[in-house]
Amino acid sequence: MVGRNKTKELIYHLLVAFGAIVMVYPLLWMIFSSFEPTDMVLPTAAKLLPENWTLDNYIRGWKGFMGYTFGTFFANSFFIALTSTFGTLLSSSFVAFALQRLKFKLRGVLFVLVLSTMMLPAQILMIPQFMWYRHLNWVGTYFPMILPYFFAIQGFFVYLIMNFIGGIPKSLDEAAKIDGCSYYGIFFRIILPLIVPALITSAIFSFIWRWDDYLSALLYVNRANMRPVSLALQLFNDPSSGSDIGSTLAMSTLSIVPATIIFLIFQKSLVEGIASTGIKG
Amino acid sequence: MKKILALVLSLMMLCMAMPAMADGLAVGTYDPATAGTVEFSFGWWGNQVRDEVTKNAADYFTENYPNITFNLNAQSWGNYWALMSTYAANNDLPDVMQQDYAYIEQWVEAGDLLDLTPYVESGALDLSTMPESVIATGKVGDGLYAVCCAVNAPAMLYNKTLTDSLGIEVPMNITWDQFVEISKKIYEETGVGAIYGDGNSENPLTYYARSLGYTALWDENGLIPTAEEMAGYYQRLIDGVAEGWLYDTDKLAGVNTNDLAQYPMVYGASNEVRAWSAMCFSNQVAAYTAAANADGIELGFSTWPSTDPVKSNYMKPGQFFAVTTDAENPDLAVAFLNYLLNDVQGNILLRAERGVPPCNGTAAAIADEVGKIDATYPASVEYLAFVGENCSPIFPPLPSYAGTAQTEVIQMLAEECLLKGTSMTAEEAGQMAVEMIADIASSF
Amino acid sequence: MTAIPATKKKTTLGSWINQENVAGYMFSMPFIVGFLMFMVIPMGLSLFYSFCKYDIQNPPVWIGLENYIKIFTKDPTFIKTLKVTCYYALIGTPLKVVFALIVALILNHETKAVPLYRATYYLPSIIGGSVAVAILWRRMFESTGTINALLGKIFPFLQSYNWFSEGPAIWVLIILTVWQFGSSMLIFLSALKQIPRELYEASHVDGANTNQQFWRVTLPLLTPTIFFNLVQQTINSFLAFTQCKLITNGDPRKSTLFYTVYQYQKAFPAVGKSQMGYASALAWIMLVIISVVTALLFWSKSKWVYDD
Repeated sequence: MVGRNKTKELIYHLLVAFGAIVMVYPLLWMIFSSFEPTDMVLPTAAKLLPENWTLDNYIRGWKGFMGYTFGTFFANSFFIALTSTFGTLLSSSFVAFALQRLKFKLRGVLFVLVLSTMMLPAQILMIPQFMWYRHLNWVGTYFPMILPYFFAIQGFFVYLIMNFIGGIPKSLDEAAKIDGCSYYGIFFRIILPLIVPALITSAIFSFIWRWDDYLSALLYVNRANMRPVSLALQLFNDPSSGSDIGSTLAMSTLSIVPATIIFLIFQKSLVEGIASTGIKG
Repeated sequence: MKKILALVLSLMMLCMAMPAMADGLAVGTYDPATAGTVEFSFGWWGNQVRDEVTKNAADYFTENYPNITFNLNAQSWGNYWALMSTYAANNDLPDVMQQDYAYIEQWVEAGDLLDLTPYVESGALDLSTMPESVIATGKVGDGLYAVCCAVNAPAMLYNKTLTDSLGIEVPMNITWDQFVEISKKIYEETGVGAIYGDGNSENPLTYYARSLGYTALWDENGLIPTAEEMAGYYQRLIDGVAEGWLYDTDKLAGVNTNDLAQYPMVYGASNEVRAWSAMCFSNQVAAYTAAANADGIELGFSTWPSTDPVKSNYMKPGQFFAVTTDAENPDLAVAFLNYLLNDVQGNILLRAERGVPPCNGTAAAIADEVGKIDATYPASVEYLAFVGENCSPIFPPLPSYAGTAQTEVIQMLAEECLLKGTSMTAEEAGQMAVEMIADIASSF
Repeated sequence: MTAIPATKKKTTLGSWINQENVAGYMFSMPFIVGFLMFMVIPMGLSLFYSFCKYDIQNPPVWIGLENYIKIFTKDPTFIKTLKVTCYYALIGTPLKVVFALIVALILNHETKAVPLYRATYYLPSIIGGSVAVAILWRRMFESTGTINALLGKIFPFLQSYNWFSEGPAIWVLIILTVWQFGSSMLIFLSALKQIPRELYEASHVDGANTNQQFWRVTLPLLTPTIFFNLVQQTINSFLAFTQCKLITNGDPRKSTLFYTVYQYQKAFPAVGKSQMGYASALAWIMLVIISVVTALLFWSKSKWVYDD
């Protein structure tokens, strides 16, 4: 009986582990191939591990193009992703606090609007926003990629933080109010420190989404020195730069490093964050 | 080499005949000594080789103009026009932009290009060694809005290593029937196919229309050839796919025809994803050769297949440079333009990659040096000389609806006709082409 | 704030601003401004342009309903892209959700290795939207890429299979979206944890076997979560852009042309003039479609979602 259970357990692990390998195989292939001489990548596409290891792809790829190294592109991506994430956290927690804790006339309406922004993401607003930003003279600047995020336009984050605030006992606010604390004081002194876990989750998602944002970069960035990694990578893989598969894979690998590291460090809060937005249909 | 070059230059004059220019305002000359630090932007489409040589030439320019920081914007042809029109809309075009013969008129109409006539008169832009007929290709009405920086011609490059090994001789002025015969033979013996009429551009159709004796494919009202004549072209595609040697729509989707370095003529792990030739332009030979060499392939030159090559062939004022109306410092932009056209060292750095420079003085001065750096240059000069003697005058600039008609009709019909087992007949395709394009033309 | 009359000495600025009603608007201000600035105004502007012929370079010309009429009566590509997008959404989304549910059920298991498995299955969702993955995907499915090289060993006819031909090409994109089932899986996992143990015990007493337990207890209790995932993923798949643009760009014969990419091509064509007005009309039609689909999903909710 024990033996049978152990066999069952073993089969379970073998199956699940096999599935896991299938899932990450494409990524492993990309990573390992990036250390392979570029002319060997396709002929040995079936093999995972390179026969000869080399860093040449990284050295060639890092040089970038038009005189700008990938260092510039990474710096741009970090700048855009960090500032817009900061804006998202700040504004979303304000709005979440208002919608969860304060009673005011338009609260119900605003809540519905916040939810509606979850159904109205960037792709559908692509053309309308482009024309509006053109009126504002924002094309060719980072404004379209940063400023809107300071206005809580992503309902997802407001909703996520709202759910979290909902879990904080109301008695805390009331006690502070009796002590003469204003609503602003309550937010900054009581709520904000307590919602740090939700902020971390939001920060991770926001950072990764902004980092991957290719559409806005395509529409709004024109100067070579302002390109973020997503756009640079696509141009790098494009006719104008040739088709050096080795260095393309090398830079692709580098481009997913930040997201992967963040994921590995904050795995637990991510998993919880995802779960908490989806518990209630 | 020098003799052939002289021939090419004299042929340029003959092949591009057009009217003369008018006068304009007085303008300044850019003086680096009195100017502060400026950011200067320059945009072009191209390939890896072009990006590199252009950057080198721009860097060299800054030796005399140290106060300039370049903002270089290199794109692929596919991205270039879409991006430039967004910049134009935002009044943020590069100071100097690369232009194409086919599109200059539309850009002038939109008011995006600067009239250079005053600068020619003031001497800031020196066109004294450029043949009048070549200068005229950059004119719209009375104004000079773009300057031709290179001359090239449509060319069919082919895998000479492959044809030699099969004992096939590919003639110059290859006819359509010869092309089919060779393609069939190669396909039967090796499985390597041919790519023609894939719908990415209307050039093969233009070539076809010219073989019928027309100058151009279309005018303001729509297509010039009749529906029956158009059907003849689409029949070629349908037959080629039915016979197997021509790349069909599905096969084209599986390869990368936009990227020189991955083009099936020079790239591909098996014969099924290879092609024996490429319909391109003579200035692309350097980039193709670089990719081909990596694969151990030698390339050969011929003209595009046509039932009447001499009627079809043309010399093309290759690329143009234009100063845009968004240029913050037009004097500087003109100084840069003048450098690109006339500076010997600058043009050696540019390696005639865009084509043979049209300024006689420049072309002669750089011939030997460029021949040393780029082994393909003498061959392309020779090819141009051949085309110059076997060609008809170029078609007029494209009507403004052409781009839309290309993406909405010509591409769609090519995809339908190249579909394996297509239900579309050549007659239907010809009929549709004429009707749909007339419709688009009338709505513009 | 200047509107406060100076005579009313009791309501100082400080106390006015600390009224709950006022504080509510203060804290919501970013959203109110943002919603107006970045949603309402752009949509209004594009509504106007959707009645215009507008090529960006020249001023817009009012043409009334012409764009809409053309879209519905003379644009086969519009119908085609709708079909392609629906195919992708209607096949990809359920596949993804079913996959996520199955894996969540398998991983809902008490062993030490589960967090590791969970992380591995989730990783593709984290980076799946990146340009890097799009490039990788194109390379993997090329006729000489990894997929054919690996599968060719088992099925020789696949050695030079053309994944980008009409038919399989859309599946290259569907496989990519299904591959990213991780976040749905996590939501299922946490929902599974919340099903009270007593329910299983009770049904066990009633004589239900594991299979029956799944159909009678687990699945009904998961329906709200399934619903949530379906809504979210359906909307997402209607709006997929990057992957289509970079992997197939709609080829061959527009068989993989997503609505959003079509919109982009109209607004920013590779050659020829921009048709911004037309693209705006397309955006508005998509807005209506998305609203209808969402409304339909919510309407269907009462029919099959178990409500507690």
